[in-house]
Amino acid sequence: MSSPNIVNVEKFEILPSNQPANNTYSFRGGNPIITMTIPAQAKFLRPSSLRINGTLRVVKADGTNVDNLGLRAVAAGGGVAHAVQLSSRVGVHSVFQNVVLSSEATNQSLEAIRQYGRLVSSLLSSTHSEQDLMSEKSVCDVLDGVDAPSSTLVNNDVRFSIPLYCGMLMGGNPIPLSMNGVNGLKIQLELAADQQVLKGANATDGAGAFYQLKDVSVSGDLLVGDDKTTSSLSVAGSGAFQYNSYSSLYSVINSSDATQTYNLANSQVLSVFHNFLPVSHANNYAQDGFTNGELLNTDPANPANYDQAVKLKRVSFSRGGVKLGLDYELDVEENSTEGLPETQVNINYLNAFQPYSTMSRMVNDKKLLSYGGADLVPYKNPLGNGSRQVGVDNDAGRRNFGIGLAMDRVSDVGVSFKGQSYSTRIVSDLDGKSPNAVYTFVLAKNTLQYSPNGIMVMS
Amino acid sequence: MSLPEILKVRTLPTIENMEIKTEVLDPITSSNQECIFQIPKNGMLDGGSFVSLAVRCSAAASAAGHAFFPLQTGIHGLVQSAYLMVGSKVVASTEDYGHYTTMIRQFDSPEHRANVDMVKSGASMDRFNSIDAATGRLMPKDLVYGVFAADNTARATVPLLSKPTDSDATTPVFSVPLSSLIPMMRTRKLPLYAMKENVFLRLVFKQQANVAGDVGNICCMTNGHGVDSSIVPSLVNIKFYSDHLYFKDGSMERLQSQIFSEQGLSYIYEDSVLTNTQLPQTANPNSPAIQEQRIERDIAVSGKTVRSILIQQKDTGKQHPLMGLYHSESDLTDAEYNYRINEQRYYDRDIVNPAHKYNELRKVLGKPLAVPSLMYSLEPDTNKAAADHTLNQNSMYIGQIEAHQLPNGLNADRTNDIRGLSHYTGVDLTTTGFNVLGNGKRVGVKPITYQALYKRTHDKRAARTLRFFSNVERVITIKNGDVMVSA
Repeated sequence: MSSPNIVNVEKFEILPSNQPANNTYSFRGGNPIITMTIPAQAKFLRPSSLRINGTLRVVKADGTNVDNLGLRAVAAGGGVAHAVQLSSRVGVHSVFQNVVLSSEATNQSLEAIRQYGRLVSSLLSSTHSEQDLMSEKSVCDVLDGVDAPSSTLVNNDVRFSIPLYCGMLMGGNPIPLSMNGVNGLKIQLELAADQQVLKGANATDGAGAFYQLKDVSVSGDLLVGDDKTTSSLSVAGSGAFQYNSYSSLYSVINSSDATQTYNLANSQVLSVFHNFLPVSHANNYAQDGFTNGELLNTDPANPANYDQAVKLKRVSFSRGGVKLGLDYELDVEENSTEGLPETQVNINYLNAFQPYSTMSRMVNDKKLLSYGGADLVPYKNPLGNGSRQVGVDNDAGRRNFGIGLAMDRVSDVGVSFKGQSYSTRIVSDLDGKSPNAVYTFVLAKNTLQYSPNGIMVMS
Repeated sequence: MSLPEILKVRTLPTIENMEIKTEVLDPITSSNQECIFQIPKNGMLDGGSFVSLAVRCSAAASAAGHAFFPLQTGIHGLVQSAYLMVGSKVVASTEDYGHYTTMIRQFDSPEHRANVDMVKSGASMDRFNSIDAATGRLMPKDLVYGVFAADNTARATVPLLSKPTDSDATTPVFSVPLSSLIPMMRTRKLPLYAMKENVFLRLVFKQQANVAGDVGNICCMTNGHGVDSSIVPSLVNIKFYSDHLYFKDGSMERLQSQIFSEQGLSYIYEDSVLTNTQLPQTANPNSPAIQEQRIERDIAVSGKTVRSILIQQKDTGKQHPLMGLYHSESDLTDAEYNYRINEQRYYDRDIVNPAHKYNELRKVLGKPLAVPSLMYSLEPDTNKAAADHTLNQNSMYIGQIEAHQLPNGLNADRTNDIRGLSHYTGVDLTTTGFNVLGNGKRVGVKPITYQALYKRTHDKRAARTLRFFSNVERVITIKNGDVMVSA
């Protein structure tokens, strides 16, 4: 499809098509699916403008608002503080377990992302700085990047307006909504379990804390083409356009020399990345299910407790048994032993999100790594008497760790994995008694073909 | 109306030899009220040119470090308005420059503001972080903490390097780019060498006499200062560093030929139009009741091509002890707004959600307003169950800044509250959604109407001033060296 000639922008805001009677979506309440539809029309959707709006309410088992760090209790002259928090790096995105984009008219699936919060966890941390999280993301996404202030963001009902980090919506090209395009766009959001979204000392009190979403809507910009463009959208024809999509896979790693093989089944894979979480930390009120920490072993004295950092030794990638992307192993044993960032692994992981050479905003800053402790809150004494800025108070440890690989940063065509497997080999000192979940996300190019008979997606 | 490459502010498509000459200009007219620079008609005037600005405070204020620039404004508060003139014609201007730039600079990343702009402008509160893990309150990062504590015993001050003194020799000198003073220069260069008339930059200064009502016009003062609070421009330090570009590949000659041809040279540039309006005071509701106030205000852009509108609003004449005049205040409740443009409602539904407002504002400059949630609105600290969204927590720093005590955990006294003071709203009106010149929305004879519903709360019912900064497209025509500009 040639580049459209846009002459006007129209705003839209659409309510869900399955609005509950009490205007409240909740996993606990049995309304865990939100469906919103942008109808087919002879216009384009500006993907970067799409926002999911609503109000987030985090409540205790008795239905009253939480009071993290007791700030509301202080304002009320005393009371009982609670600790029921969202992930400070994922915020309100964590409430979406699965995100599915499909064609409204044909129900053809265009993109389906499972474990969406895990995707956002890596994506935001790899493309935003500490101050980006503290500013922009605190207004719209209900997160501050640091645990303590993030927790107080949800003490009251809080409004949000967030983008969906789907490959299709992160592209710059307008999405045709007519029959000569996606034929209407249906967005289906499946809510995550309360145990996955919430954490904190009081999350399990009573029947357990839970969250609710209210006043949900989708808003954005529609681009109106000139007469020629509009008529070309209105009359059924044939054509194709390309878009990106994320897909996800789940596996478990437990051995010290683990080769994992995945069937990506896509002919134009642009990048792959993996992040890790101890298996018992998912769906667990006691743990943050969205951390991007390193691999962890359990404590020999307390096998339920994952608190031993695993020494990462070597990482390699292959396609059909042949080394892929890099013709060498990433050897980070010394870095890992010395408690330094595993530079080679980190660089390739970050490169999976955007070209490493152009990257300037991330939360991989060493002072934010949790080596030997936890996140530092820098600038305890900023500018004071020329003294060093020292971090004294610690936030819960939060790294942005993962392994990943950009397949094709030169031509941006991607690598075909049709009939070829993709493998990772991770050599570490995992002890075989500490299963860690591996969340794999694949960014690939797809081609949508439309004709008077309908649409077809070729991966 | 294609624009020659050498007039665009961007990397040239091909490698060319270019010479840059910087001339340091003293004003041809200079007083405490204004100064005028005459820019030599040489080469191409670049937006990277800058004005050095400085002020002096009283000896007593200097000795104790009592005067400091509004925290998020810096030296920009000195300039009331800026005009770029060719002969007697105003080609481009910025009215209420301090308000405008306080807003615009907050779209830069906090890191840029703290590490680059702080040195250039003297602003000093751009980054935030958690004060500790026990309270989670946000603290400003770039202040000096004489006493650091998580409770109300903390004492912060503005770094001395940003504070004015009483001496022209020691007072800090800041630099303000021409592209900041005159938005036109962000995207265009000016072919001075092909103009007949002289080109002037005129800066009108804000005044701050030794009266309480003036504090915050240019500088704020430490609480309980008890000294002369007057501020005057440090005229000997005010100079214009004018960058003139010369291209050696013949492109300047070709441009000159075009200017002196039958058609001349015409191109689009951006300018700023300010519309001021007021809302009257309302009855004072008793908490938790609210007083609704529905307004419609015309924005003076009829017949113009408008690219965007940015709105700053606060109680009329309000001087914040730390932000001075320059802030935009959020209500506890949600103001709803919409626009009527060419007799059509712009949004399907009125915009209510503060995060949604923030996203609409982001589209104006194509990047987010980089302030924490608590600075944009008071969303995290307000109780939505009450009609007036009463404050029921304080998650911002509760110590002192320059001896001004911020509200405590009970929100007892909000006089010095810094929450919700970056509450700007805006709308992008480009017809393609792309932030390039030439795709603004043409407004007919009827001006754009701003429709809003305010929900005033107890003791927040004062008269309010709204400033609409409209970014419009104008056309400049240079023919035979004469300059003509559209309305």
